[in-house]
Amino acid sequence: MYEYDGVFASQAEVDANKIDYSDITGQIRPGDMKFKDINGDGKITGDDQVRMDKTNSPSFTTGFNLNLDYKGFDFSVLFQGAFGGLQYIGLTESGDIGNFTKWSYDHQWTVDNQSSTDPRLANRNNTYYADMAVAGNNTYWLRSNNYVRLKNMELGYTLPADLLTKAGISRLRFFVNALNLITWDKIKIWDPESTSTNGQYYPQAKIINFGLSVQF
Amino acid sequence: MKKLFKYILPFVMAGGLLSIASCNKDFLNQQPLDAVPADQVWKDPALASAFVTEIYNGLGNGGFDEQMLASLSDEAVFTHTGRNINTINEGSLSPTSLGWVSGTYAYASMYQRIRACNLAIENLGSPTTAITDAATNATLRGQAYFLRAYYYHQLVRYYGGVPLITKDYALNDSFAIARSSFEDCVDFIVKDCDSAALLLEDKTMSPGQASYIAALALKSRILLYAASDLHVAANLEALSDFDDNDPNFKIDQLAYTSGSQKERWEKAKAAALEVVNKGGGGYKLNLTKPVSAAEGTANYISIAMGGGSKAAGVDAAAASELLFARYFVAAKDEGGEYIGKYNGPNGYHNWSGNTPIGLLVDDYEMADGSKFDWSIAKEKEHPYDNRDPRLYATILYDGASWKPRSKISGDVDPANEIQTGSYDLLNNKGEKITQSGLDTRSSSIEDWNGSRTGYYMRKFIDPDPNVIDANDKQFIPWPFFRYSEAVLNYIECCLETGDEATATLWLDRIRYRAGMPKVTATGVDLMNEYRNERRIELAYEEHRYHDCRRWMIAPSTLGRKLTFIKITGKFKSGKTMSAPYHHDENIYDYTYTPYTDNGHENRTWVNKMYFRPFSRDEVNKNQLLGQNPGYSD
Repeated sequence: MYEYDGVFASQAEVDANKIDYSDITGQIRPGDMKFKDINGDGKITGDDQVRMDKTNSPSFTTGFNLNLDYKGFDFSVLFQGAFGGLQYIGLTESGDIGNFTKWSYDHQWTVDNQSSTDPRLANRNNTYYADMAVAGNNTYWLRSNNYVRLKNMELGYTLPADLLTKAGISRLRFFVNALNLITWDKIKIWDPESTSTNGQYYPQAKIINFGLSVQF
Repeated sequence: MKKLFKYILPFVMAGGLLSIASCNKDFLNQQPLDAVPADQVWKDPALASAFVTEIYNGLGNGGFDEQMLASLSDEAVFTHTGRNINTINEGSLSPTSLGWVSGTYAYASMYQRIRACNLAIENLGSPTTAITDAATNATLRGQAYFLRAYYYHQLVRYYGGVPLITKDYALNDSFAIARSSFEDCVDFIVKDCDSAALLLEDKTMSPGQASYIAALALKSRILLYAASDLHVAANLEALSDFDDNDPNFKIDQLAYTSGSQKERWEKAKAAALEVVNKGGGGYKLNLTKPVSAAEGTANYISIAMGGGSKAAGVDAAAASELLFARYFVAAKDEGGEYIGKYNGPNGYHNWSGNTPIGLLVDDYEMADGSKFDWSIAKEKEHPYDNRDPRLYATILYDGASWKPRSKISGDVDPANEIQTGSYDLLNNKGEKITQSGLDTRSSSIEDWNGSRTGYYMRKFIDPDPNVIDANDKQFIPWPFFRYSEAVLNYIECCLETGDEATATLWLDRIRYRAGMPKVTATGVDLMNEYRNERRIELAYEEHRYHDCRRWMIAPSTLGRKLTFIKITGKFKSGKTMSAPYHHDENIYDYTYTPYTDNGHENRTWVNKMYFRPFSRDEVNKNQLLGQNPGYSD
């Protein structure tokens, strides 16, 4: 894959460019992406691609489970985390047929915001650096999908049995639990557990339940 | 607990013994249930036939993919961005970035199929073959020869000479093999065509299968290409920016370095004449005067439908034009059945993929045989009146009648006409507004799919009103070879060999069928007339891209900037119309303004585009594969 090397922020930068991009694009415009000329031949070609050992599968996944009981109270929590993967982000087929992500909107080269780090957006990835058949296969779109997530948490209270026997109830427990309550991640755009490159993924819900369980 | 063990243990042990006793090697050595071993295939005629039939899959959907070759030529432009079509049309294709390459001619796909052909030919032709029934063997072998010739012809017309592989490659074989010369490739294809023709001559084949006449048609085409200017070494050497530093490349891989071009034209002429004589006469090619304009349009629609449409007025007998075609059946769901959806107007909930450009529409002559000209006021005011009747069968333009429009978005167009302009209109409050047509990129219906050019392809879309293109399949066959192509080949060879009388005779026959008058031109003008006739008659049939290159007129054809049409309808004084809009020249003054657009695709021509590049991966795999000129430096 090609190595991202910033963005041509202005026409002046384009004019000053000495590297030949003609193998991947007919014309460089401000806002286009720069790549590293790995083999140093003054041209960006397929030979400037490097091997990427990471995939979108994490190399390390972990979990942490904790249960606490104290008198009538019980508390349990599960943290889950994954590390060491890289995920393509941002190659949504947006433009004519759909919207860009807010993240793309906030991180783009425009005439008013001549970014040297984020490239120009184009309708349906119609640029050499967003098109997978040309050089969309580059490190800019890769983000770490490391995350730690508070996957579920439950807090309960069971009433003392002696209070209940008169009412003919053997056990009464109040509880509140939550799924996917908090996530610490680096992707920020969508669910770090998703392996979709374009965000077409059914999102996981954040759920909070309040409950009461009664046994007679 | 102890008791339990006591009873169970003997059973467990007995079971263990039993399974040891029943264990023999056979059950580890199963035949797969979903595949047939290679050695079985060539012992059973049915399996051998299935093997050969599978090779046809290399034909894909014929030319009926969502992206058509027309969009790599001055026939059409593809509407949607991000498909790597502009990579080619803007001249930025390279070994790293090939642009869009259809599987119907991609290097690796073709060799995969060629290998299958080689296997079939080797096994069926072996003296010890188990397929001993002579007719069965010949039928299968004939098809394999035809398909091998076809796949090589695909490679040769996109890449030039390629490595000629005639044996089935095994894993341990060396993959380093040099390209054969262009001449050797052509000879090889011709030889395979001859073999196929010989084997299939008296055989009855099903529609869609290779046949005697298909083999002759393929031979005619490859010989026509071989005789063309592009394949004369001196012509290529004269091109600018056509250098090659690859030591494995030699000019004879693209062109003849010796021999006489005149002789090649004579050979091509003989091959074309053979198809003309034996191809069944085509459809209505025996006329002596032009049919009416309406009939001309109907004839052309019938030919395009190839017997696959149930629409009123479409003559199924026109299927006689097809010498080799790709058919579609209801039982299979294939892309080629959705050409209407891929290309129809957005106002009909279709995708308007390969839209005709102004350059094509302008090349349709006036019905009287004169050139259409924007600078003639009368023609500019009514550009779609009195044109070649084939225009109306090939292109949907503003105001053209078309199928019933879907009512999903309301009864917005009771007239069922194509709307690619913007028009004055009274809204429901009686106020005058400017409304964009339903089939534009400002339409109220799926505007992102609107045509950029102001036109839509009609030619291969089934006009049957019962076929709702956005949902339904159509069964229009793709014409790989049709009789008229062979006739046009013959005309070209006659012109190249100085026989204008015969050329004119056949040119007139093709024109009479379309309702066009006879040609009067001679000399260079006649050649230009022929070239335009071929462009119009074979529009959207994957010829133009090749024809412009082999005639070496690509810079002034394929390399031209795109032209679109802008149409406005203003109320005549004192006249108004309330929504819904329909086309009405009594109420509206229409203005037609052609314009050039570089924004969507900035087309250009660089000489390296005469041949496609081999991908970097293929060059790495085969160290002897010489890259085409302009792609290695």
